[in-house]
Amino acid sequence: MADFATALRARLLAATPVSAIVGTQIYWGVVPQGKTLPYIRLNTISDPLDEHLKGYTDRQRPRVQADCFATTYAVARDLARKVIVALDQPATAGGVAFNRIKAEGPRDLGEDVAGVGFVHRASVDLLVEHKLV
Amino acid sequence: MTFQIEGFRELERALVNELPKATARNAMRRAATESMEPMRERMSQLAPFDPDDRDGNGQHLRDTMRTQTATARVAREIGTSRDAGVVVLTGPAPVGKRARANAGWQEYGTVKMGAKSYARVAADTEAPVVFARIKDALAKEIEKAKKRIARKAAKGG
Repeated sequence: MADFATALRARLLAATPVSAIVGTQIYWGVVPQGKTLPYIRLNTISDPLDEHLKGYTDRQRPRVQADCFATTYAVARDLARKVIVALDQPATAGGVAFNRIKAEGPRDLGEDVAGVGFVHRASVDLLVEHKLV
Repeated sequence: MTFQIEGFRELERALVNELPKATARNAMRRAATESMEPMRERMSQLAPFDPDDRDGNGQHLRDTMRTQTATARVAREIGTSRDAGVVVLTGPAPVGKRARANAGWQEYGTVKMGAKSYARVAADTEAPVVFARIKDALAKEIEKAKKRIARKAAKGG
């Protein structure tokens, strides 16, 4: 069955500029322990259902937070920009028809982590309009 | 997030022509604050809650949600001058540097913790409600202000 989360991740993995930086290190929700930077963490922030007078439509527009982690500020920002470009155009992947996304950000949210040093994070909000096909 | 709302021409005319400037600003501020109430309430409902109050500061994030008028500087940064209207902001307003930082960590997550967003979720779901309320709220405040002015004029006369 078509699944939005898997399809979105597949689109990012299929984008060469993104995978050239993170390889396959794109995770929903939790990053497994021991992973080395850089990587992307995805979280669904909100997913209000689109409705009209007769009920819900087949379209959804969840807000997904894409956190791009890296050891340097430049790589984190570059990765965030490449994520936006990768999803900018409409496409169908994994049984999901994506419209063009609306991006907000990136925000700079880096922080010091004990034993690792400063971890840079460029965080982008992606409003991903899509429907299952 | 962009919304287009219509039918404000008459209200704008009343604000500009029928009310003193300060009264018009107060009417707009009250209407905006009242309209934002569903969003403020939703943020409170969604804010992560620690029943044990482990940071021991006696305040819970969910109890700190406020709707406040933006200072002139913040309004300018947002792109609205004081002459152009009023800017109200809804969100957490806890006391103390650490509590304010925590409000941000919960909303956007940290390196080790994913976001437990409350503000953006509330904004995404309640924004249409806020915009649906603003016109009626503003019309009501303008009418109230006009009646107050008429009452004062009657007393003075």
